[in-house]
Amino acid sequence: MSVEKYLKPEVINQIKRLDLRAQFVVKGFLHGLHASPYHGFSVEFSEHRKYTPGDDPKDIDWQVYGRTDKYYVKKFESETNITGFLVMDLSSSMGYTYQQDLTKFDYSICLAAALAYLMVNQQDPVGLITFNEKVRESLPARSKRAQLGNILSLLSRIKPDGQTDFEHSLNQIAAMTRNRSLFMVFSDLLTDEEPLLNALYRLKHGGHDIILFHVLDHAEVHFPFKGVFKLRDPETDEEIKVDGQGFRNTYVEEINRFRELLAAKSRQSGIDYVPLDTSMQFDKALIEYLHSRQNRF
Amino acid sequence: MIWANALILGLGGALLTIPVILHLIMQPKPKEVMFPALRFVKKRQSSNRSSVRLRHFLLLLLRILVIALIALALAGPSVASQEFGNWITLGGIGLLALIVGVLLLASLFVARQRNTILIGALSVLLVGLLAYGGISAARVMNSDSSALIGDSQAPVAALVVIDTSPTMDYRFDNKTRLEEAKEMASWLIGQFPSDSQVCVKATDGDKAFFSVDVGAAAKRAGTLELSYVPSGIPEALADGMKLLEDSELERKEIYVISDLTVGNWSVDQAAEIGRIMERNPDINVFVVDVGVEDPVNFSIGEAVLSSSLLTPGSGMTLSTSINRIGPAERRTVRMRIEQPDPQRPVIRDGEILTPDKFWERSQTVDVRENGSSDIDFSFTEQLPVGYYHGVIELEGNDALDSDNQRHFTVHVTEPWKTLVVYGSEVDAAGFVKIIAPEQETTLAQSMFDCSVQSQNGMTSEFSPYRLVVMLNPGPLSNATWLALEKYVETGGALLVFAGHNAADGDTADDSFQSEVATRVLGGALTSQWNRDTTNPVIFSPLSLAHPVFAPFRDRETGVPWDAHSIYKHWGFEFDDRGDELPTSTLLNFSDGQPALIERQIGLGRVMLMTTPVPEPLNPLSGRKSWGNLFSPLRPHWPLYVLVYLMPRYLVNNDAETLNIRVGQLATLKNDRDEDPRQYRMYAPDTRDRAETVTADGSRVRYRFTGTPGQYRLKEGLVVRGFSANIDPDATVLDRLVPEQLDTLLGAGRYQVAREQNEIQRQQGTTRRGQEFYPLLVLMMVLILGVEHLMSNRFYQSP
Repeated sequence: MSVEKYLKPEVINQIKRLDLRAQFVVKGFLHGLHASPYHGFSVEFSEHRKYTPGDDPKDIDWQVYGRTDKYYVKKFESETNITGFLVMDLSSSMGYTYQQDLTKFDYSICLAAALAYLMVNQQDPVGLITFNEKVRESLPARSKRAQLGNILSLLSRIKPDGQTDFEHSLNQIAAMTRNRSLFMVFSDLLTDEEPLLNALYRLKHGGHDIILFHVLDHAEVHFPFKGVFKLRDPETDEEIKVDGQGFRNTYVEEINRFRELLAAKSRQSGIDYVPLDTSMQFDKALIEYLHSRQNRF
Repeated sequence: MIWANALILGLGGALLTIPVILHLIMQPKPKEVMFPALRFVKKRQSSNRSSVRLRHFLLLLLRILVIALIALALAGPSVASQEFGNWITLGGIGLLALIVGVLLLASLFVARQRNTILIGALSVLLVGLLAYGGISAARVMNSDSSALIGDSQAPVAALVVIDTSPTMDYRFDNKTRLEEAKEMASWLIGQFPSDSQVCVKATDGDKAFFSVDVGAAAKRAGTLELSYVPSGIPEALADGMKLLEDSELERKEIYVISDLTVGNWSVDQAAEIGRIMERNPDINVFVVDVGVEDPVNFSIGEAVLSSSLLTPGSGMTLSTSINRIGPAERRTVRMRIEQPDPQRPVIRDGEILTPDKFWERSQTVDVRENGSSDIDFSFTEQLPVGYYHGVIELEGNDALDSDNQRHFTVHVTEPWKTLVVYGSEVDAAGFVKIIAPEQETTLAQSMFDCSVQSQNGMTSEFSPYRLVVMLNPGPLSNATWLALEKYVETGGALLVFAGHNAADGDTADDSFQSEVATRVLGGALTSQWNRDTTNPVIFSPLSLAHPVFAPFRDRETGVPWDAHSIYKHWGFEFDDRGDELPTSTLLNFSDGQPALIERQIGLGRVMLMTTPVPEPLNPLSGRKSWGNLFSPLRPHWPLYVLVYLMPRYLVNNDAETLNIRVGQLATLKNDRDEDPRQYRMYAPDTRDRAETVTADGSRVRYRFTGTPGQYRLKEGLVVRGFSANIDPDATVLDRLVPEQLDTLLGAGRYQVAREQNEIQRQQGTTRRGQEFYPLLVLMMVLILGVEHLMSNRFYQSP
């Protein structure tokens, strides 16, 4: 089977180690890329380095080998470096799934790990910030290979908990970072529109770029309930009785209205808005990242 | 509507509360699920809530309906089958109203946007349905006749009408239709509960009555025979239904067992039957069809004799048609005339022996498929004076026997002695040639034996003559008029053509205005009506109903009456005693004056024509001609035919009815002086003993002519008789179309069956009424299905 299978959440769920997950997702992604407009990486040759086992043999410079009889690999460097921050929403609603393999949180972590892997491989400095009512943890952006390990270990440690204060947390983040950075926000955005948009605007106005990964559970997008259900909000413990089929269209209309609103507002303010649900393959998010990255230069 | 188990209804009503209670206290707990995106649900909660409520309500409604239907089905409602349709309509309206109501609720409370037009339309529809439903319900309740149904073993007042018309003689499957009908009737009567009242009614005109008991009814049904004079099923029904109406039994049923051929189902009585059916909506009518869909048959049409009154040499012609239903075929047709045998008829061993020697003629005819062939037999044998019976019949087998022969009787007499009296300037020979053509006279075939006398040499002794003709007579003495009156009264016939000899100046001679002349002629000749030769009058018949106009009937508009120009005729003043002595005008002139007058006096008749025949165009005496009657220059057949027929009509005035239809009265002449007073009657249906028939005055009358065949009167060596035949229309095998049956019995008011099990099924339906059980169970199953589907969707496990 092709490595592209790792782009499917249900497949990646079978792999427990986060680093492997990230690796497989990216491998699957890159494999699929050959037929896509995103060929290779926008990096330039910087120096030669002695070949050490583990380096990609295709990077061996055979001309140098011809002259010196020694294996050197070409060392590449990004033309420019993007400082990226993976911003994880830790609210308890992120830990939700209804009949899916991954919760919104798992899905986001997989995606974040894959992106971290991608960025570290391109020597882009990457950091991690988690938040719920406020910023919980943060790793400053580094481009070293060890940074990946740090990020992955943090990601595998965190658990969704409590309610979210999006506005406060984003304001905190905006205050924390001075350099122009790319914020990749992973959240279900289940909060009021106004403060959310305001916080995003502020971050954007700080000169930062934002990719807003709006991760919803499959059930939250498609409302697959049949029959009468009592629905409970995990954050507020509110309960509502609904008739699944009878209400589906109304609900889907409403959620789509919300997603379209966010998309429209984001477009207006130059934010990349990526609506996702946990049944979707990861490549959509990754492509969005590459696309966004390319647009920056 | 009646209920088999009315108690269940109450119980069912109580059970209806169960789903309501269950709905209220035992609503299944919905599955609880976490759902972080609840804020979007909350935003649209109101529509969600009403949708949930509507679904709950629908589910409750369905469950109530299921229980109600179970209770209804178990209660076993049934209605008379004729009302079943009404109830179904009512149920349909109710169901429709329910659906519209639910739709209305849904559009009121569930739809995201209220569509006022839709809501309005649904409301109007609902109100309309409810109103219509209410009216229908009221009507159904009013017309409910629950009395007739119920226990299928309750005694029944039954009218079993069995068609005994001649077509029931049709043989199929080696059984005549009547045998089949009788079998069916016996079986039917055997099915009736023992204390039922049963009337077995044949279509023979007998009065309807209830048999003593069921066994007697069955026996009566078994002994029915064909009636050749069918009274018609509608008449039998009308008669029998009155009997049923008077019966005190609640359940009333009519069975008509018939082959459904058109002949016996005249729609004349439709109105009467319709009234009775309307008065008694609870009478159930079953039509049992024992007929054959595609019959095959030969039949002989009416046998038409050239004359039933013959002279020894006159010979005769018999014409008829051979009709076929079915494929083309060849058949031999035989005509037989019995040779007289003074010893016969005679009854031996319960059987009538008739003369066994015949004059026979036969012909072979090819008849087209479903066609008809005309056939003529001529018979020129010299027959002695007497009565002769004959038959024309088809040889070979045929499904329907009763139309395979026609009987006929002819009477051979000496020619009629006729006295022709002519006035001055009249050529009697021309007239005699018309009534007794020369060639007939020479061959002794003529019916008239004419003695021609001038008026001057005339005696007043008329009695030897059968007919007296006066051609343009001059004044007659009162004695002569009195003699003529007496002559006619005793059965004589007088034919008078009045012309110029009757004139005294412009008016008629007094002797044509005298009291006795007026009595004889039916009125008085008054004055002459003169016409310009350029503007003559012509004959103008009032109607062609009179026998002397028979040949003109078929060509009513083609008769050249205008070929006869009449320049002069007598005016005529009718006798004011017309009431005592019937007088009628048979023919008018075109100026409206009477041309031909007929009067009946006693046993005889007089005819007067008010213009002379014959009349020369240019009279020798130089007087003006009265008309161009019998002009050699122009065609004159109408008057020729009229003059030919008038004497025959007058002589035949009291003609014997030798060939009649079955059921008609037969009349034979009987001379008081010469003929016997009593006869023995050998009828076709005579078995053991010949009945005695007594002459009544100068006639012998016989009315029990219900069987086709020859009826022979015998006394000593005198043998006379007549023939009776079935009306050819009575054996027409065309079948009724359903619309005709509908007209007669009312659409939907009767049921048609062919087989015993069909009858049983229909009986069951009508006796117990039409049951709603299967329908209710079906509806229950449907609703259960919907309920199941809906509750599954509602409470299904994820």
